[in-house]
Amino acid sequence: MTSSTAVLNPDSKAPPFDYNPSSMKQRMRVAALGLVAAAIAFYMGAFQWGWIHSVWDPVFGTGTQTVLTSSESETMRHLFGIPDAVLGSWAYTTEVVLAFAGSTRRWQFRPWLVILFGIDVIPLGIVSAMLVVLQGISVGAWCFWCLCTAAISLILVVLSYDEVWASLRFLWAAWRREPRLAALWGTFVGRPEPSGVRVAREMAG
Amino acid sequence: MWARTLEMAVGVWLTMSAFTFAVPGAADAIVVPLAGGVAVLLIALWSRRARHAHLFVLLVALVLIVWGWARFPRPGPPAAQNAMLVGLVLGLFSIVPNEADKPPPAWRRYVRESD
Repeated sequence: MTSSTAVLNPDSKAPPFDYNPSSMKQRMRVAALGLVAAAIAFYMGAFQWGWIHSVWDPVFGTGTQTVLTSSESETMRHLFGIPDAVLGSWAYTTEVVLAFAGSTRRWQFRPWLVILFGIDVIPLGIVSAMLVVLQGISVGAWCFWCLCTAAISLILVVLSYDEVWASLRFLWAAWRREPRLAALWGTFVGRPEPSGVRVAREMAG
Repeated sequence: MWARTLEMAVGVWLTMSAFTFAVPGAADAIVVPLAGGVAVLLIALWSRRARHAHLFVLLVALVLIVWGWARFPRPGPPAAQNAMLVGLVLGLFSIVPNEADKPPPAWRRYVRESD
């Protein structure tokens, strides 16, 4: 393998990790969990839309229904125009789609996609988990399915951070090679800028 | 290209929804989804030839979201909620590049020219 084709090797590791954080195996776990969370949120959204007349809650009894019909939830519905659980389902769907998109070396080829995926999963995941807990405290009732999705959000953060870190390290190394915004932007959007190519070659070994 | 295929599927749904979620006395509840659905289908077809054309779907998505949010008192009728949700989904698909599973063309060209 020449040094040029090495930067295209889809299976190469991404330092500091001794594995490829953009591998399909890694991303499939994120997509599968995101899909489960999206389905759970959509189940609650179906109740808010009136498609189903009750929500099964194995732990808190009518807790889920109390949360889904609370004044806080209604306020959100009037603000956004869509039930909050349906919006939650869409948010998890974005994680699934962004987990699927891109090659198995996207941390290098499309850092913008990985960073966008990271913003979607990491800060938004943490905030949504916090909101679920705050909502429980504010409403005075707990929602089993909301807590499940919040837990999934936090697991997704753990599963996704490595790829985001690899991308950030790649961008940082390219920036240190050539501290020019145009070059950094080119690397970020997926152009083989000289600095990015040199870093990619070094990382590919 | 899977994102383009999904955009087409959502475009078909949007076109059909124009007649499913009609709102009495609101002709735009038919026109907006119908025009949006046709536009999405055409852009998705065009995107197979033009690399960045799929970004126009983002514009259609924004129109659907703004129309659904602003046209009726919230929470709006099913037509408005459908438009917003479809807009959000289309906005998501529209940012996925063509041939997303391959390296970007510029990287492929670089390797071809270097070897």
